Amino acid sequence: MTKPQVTNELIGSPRSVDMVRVIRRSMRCFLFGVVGLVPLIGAGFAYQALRLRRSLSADLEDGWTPPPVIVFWLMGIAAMLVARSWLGLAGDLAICVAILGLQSWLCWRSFQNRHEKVWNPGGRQLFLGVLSAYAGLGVSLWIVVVLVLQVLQVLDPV
Amino acid sequence: MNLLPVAERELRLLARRPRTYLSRVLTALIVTVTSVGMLYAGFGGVLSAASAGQTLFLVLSCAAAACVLFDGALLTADCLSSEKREGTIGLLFLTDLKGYDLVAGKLISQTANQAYALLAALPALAIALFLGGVTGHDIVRMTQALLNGLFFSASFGMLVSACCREERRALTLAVFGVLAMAGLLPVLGWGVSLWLETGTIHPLFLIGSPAGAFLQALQAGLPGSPFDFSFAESLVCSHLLAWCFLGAASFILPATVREQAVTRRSGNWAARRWHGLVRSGAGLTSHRSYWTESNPLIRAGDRPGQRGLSMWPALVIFAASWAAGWALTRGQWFTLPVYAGTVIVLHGSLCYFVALHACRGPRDDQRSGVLEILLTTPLGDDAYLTGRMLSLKRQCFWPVLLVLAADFGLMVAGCWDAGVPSWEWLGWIAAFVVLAARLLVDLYTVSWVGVWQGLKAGDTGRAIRKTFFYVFVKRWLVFVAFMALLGALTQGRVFQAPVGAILVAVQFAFLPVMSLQYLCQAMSELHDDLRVLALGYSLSEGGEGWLRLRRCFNWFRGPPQARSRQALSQWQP
Repeated sequence: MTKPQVTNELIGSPRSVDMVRVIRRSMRCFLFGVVGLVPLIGAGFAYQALRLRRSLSADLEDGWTPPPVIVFWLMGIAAMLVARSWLGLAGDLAICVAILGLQSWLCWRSFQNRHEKVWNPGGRQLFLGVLSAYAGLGVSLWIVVVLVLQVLQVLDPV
Repeated sequence: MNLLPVAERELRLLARRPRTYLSRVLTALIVTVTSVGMLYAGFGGVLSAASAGQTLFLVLSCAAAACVLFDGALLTADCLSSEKREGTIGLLFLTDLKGYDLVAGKLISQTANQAYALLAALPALAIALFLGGVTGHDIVRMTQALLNGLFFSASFGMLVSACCREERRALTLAVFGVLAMAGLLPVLGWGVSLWLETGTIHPLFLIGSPAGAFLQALQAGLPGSPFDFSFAESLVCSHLLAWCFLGAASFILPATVREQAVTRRSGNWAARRWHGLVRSGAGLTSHRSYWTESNPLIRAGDRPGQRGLSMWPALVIFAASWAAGWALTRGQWFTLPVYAGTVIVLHGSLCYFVALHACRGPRDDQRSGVLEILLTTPLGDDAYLTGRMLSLKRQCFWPVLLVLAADFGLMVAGCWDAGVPSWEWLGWIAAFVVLAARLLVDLYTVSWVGVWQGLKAGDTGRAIRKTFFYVFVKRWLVFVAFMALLGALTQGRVFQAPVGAILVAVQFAFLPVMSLQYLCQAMSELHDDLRVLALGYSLSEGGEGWLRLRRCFNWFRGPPQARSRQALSQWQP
């Protein structure tokens, strides 16, 4: 059996981090996340917010694991395809709201569960940025899927 | 001694690089995705199968020709001149190596990936065979024409690189030289044929150009060819010309290696006189000192060799060709295709020059050590970036104004043609506003992405290619992929309905927005990691996508701390 990798969390060694850089990145993550809330147009900004969050997580080694949003949205799309014939657009909207709520709650929980060794004064902004980015990306995906389904329905009403 | 030892070494190196394999796989994937939409259009009944096949053949061939000509020139233009600037090529000539060894080695190392990518993309052309309208003979001809185009542009780039020493001059001469031979000459030939009313383009304009063989291959299925020469003649002539370029490069290279005395007098008489006049102007001097005091980097960007975008020669040639076209074909000149072509050429040239300057400045600073020294002073990272961007804006100001004025002129000409005020006027005004806004957004994005890639990529040519890929090519790929997906889902019916046109228009309007992601990334990395980028380290994480996917599934297994503890408890030495 190979020896498992011992992470810094187990050893508990202090880590030197440039706090100015961390705070600036946290604020930028918030900004990008808020712009990313705009559906479709803000998708690039939302992606950059998540990218910043990942790199900050690597710098701070806070062990943050993002919730599996892609899996939820894939399940949501499958549910939309199944329930569309019964519930129509209202069903799509309900599924979207449900997934947004679920991913926000899981995101909040994952932030609570992280082990922050270095205090980040911009942690709240970081959280809000990530939350907004996930919400923006989710809504963008939902709009694209609904658009495609509507086009399919218009072209083939049967 | 081996035959062409440098070429052999470079080929061995290429075979060990993952990028060699990745690039051809990605190219094949992109071309296949592009073909899917056309396949559905053909089999879904939107177009007749034959016309879908011809359209697919036309679209793929034109895209491949543009890539091949641009890439070949850009990749080879600075490969020998950079060695000359760094003084390493003289050391190579101390060995038994000859000029042709170096030229062949550099040619192979710079263009092998592009040749592989082209070969990987060519089978997709054969999809047109299944749809009809294109024969196997046409595909073979097009394959030959495209490979010849790559060889021609790369050879011309090698010749320019052997003759030039300065990076900006080499890149500009190579790119615009190839574009002039492949684009300007056929257009001039067409203008002359219209003027003389001969109905055929004179061979002098096309036979030595890669465009001759390409147009012959494209026109194969159509009746009434406007050419006086055969495909084989054109192919052989342009191929021989390319070999002449390579021979000339091999011959010239050893002679240009010798160091020459650098003259202090740079620029021509008119430029020196103008600089003198500007320096003596009291108002302008105070204006400059204000800028210089606010950021010393602007002063660096104001040196004679750095001033302006140097796009005036290209603009003058373009204006002369435009005037010649107008004079030759008076009645047929003011048409929509001419307007569209003018806008594309002007905007494309401006974007190229802005990208060139954005990529070159930081790269020069990095190479000469200026950036390292600046970052150790109290100026800081932000001052460097602000200065670099302000300097770029000052360089771009007049060219941008000129291009916008030209756009405005075209709009006025369009309205004039329309006659009395009508809805057509509104269309022209809307087109002008949308195109001007898109140009400004694109230029801003190109500036930031160019500076970012200038620091990140190995050389300026590669940085320009990456900048163009991120800002312009990728968004078109997303556009085409989305339309192909819609086509696949609706079996091509979406292209028949009005909803398809609306979707295409909306997507086209939002295309620049897709590039904003890279604007954000460039700004973010430059502000945060300028010192890391200045050292030439790459910030990209290998296999990031796989890691992210794995992390996604790790979420179901609990937090990493618990996993580490569990693993430690299970471990028995």
